[in-house]
Amino acid sequence: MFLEFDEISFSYPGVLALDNISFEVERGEIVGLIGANGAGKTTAILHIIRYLNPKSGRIRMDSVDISRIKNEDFPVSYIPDTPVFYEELTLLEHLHFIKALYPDNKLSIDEIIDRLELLDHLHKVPSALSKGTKQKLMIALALLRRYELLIADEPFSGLDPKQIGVFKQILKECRQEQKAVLLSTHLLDMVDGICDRYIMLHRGKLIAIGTKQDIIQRHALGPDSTLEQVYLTLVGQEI
Amino acid sequence: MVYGAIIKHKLRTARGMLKHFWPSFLGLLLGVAFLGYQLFVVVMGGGFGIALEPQYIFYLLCACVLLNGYRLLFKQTPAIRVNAATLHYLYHTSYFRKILSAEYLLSLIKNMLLAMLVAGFICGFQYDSLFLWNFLLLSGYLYSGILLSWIRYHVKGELRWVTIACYFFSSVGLFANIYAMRFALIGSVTVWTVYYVFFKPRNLNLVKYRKDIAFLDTNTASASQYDMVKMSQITAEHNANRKRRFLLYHLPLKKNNAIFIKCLIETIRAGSRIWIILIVFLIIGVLIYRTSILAGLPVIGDPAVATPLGVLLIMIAYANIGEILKKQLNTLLERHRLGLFLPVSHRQIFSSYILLGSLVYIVLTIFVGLLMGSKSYLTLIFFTLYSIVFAFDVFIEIRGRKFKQPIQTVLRIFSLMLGFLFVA
Repeated sequence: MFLEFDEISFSYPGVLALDNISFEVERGEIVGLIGANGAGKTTAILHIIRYLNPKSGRIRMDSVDISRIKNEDFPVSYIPDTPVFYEELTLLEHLHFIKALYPDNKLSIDEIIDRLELLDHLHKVPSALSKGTKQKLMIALALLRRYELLIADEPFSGLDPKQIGVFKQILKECRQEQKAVLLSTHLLDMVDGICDRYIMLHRGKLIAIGTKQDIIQRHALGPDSTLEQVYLTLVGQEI
Repeated sequence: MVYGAIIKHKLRTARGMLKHFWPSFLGLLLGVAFLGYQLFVVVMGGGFGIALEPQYIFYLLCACVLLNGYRLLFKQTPAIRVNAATLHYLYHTSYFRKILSAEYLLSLIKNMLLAMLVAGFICGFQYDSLFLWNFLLLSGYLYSGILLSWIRYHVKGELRWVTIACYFFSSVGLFANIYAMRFALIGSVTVWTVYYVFFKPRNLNLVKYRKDIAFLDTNTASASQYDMVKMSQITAEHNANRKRRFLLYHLPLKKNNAIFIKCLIETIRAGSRIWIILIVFLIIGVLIYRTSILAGLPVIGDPAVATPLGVLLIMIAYANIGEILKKQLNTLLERHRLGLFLPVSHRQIFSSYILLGSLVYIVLTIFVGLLMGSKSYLTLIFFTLYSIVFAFDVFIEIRGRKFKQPIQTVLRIFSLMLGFLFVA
């Protein structure tokens, strides 16, 4: 097992954000971490990237507690829900900056520029980029890093349909390269079909885990139910 | 390449800031140069080897205490700052620790330079052992202020009180007559803060830090690109989303104290900026009236002008506090007139505002009285009379319709006269 998120609980003042949550992520699989706003998705991710320390429970990677892994060996690349840039560096300078940090990554700058259609924006600073282009830049920078686990928090925000398709293709390639992907979103139709398994959270609690078919069978739902219908049924809401 | 990119980003940001805000920077520079010049030429007689008079040393040390107090108690932003992008892209690399260490070092150097300047004034710029001791003590005191602020920013619970206790002890140490006691108090606080920050396992509140530095970065970038609309928009959003420390239900809320508590919370939430501006008014007033630092200047340097000007500045601070409270009162009364049901009488509203006003004024009067060296009986008389004037002012605000303006003008003139009584 690559990532083990084991019995993690965490609370913010007055709010239980994660209530004894456990899940696992294998290499070579795309896992959807789904739930409404405030379900605890981002809190779970902040634990995995070590921005938060669990109050109880453990997180392990390849059976090693993540707090014991050296910073430079930490194999996670993270696309946050809000883009983060050096506001005075151009798009191209950002790409070179990350490439300098991870020169051993086989992906070249030219390749990523071509793939994500960034050529027209190379010399623009982030404030001059559209929301979609900023998101593409965040994806490009995440892919240029060295990682075994790619975590994307609401990655489809601002992307046009073509770019969503490109990004989904990139995720599938990560799977082929035996990398793990954790995809967090509340846009359920976006991830329906591309994830191997789903982790459904609701108000800090784990309400379902498994493949879509597993979840449908376990909860005796209609075989043609969409992911959105499954989730809403489980949280007791109607469309 | 990595450091080069970060430096390039910093330089471009600085260039943008200088390009758009050079008059402000120039003004600040001139202000600091002017104060330094006045201290050196007027107070020290323009010669090396002449130490400042004890009175001025006291003021300089007070300024250091205020600076550390601001860092610890009022500063909302982190004392050690890296870019949000540096945190995001470099946190999982060996670079992050190095960059953070460089920021600690930069902060130490800045505080040492400030300590060198203050120690220089205290010792008349004679680089002897006395200068060295003062320099070491002040460096320790000022840098521990930064580290205490950094610790307080990241921790919760009892440790926040420990930082305040440390600030108190080191500040007492700064004024101690015996050097051994100075070293014991300031040294122990400095050693503890250095140990906590550099040798204890890191326990940074990265979620809070990431959010705050991202806001600061966006603000700085907007300023650098002279996008004032974006800057004010994100500041307004940030302030609206800021966590409130004091909430109504944290306090013992009862029907008869509800207005007082509402007024108290509203005053606290008015923000630190307004209080800092008022304190600056007070300090400039005290500098003009009590010291010769501005002597020799045309108009302000004339004693005939300096006294009324000093009093005026101090009374502006008093009047503005009254205006803050009256504005809150007016908003409440206006909503009441528009239909807000208030299950309390006007008399209760009146007494709540008077009580809070009196509490604020008693603290302020003691503070100003100490700075001005006023006699205690005059301080007491001033406080009593000023509270009566304030109460009357509030009463007029609630009841008065006819002659409200002229009566309040008379009250202002009267309170200015009281100011002369106070500082005379």
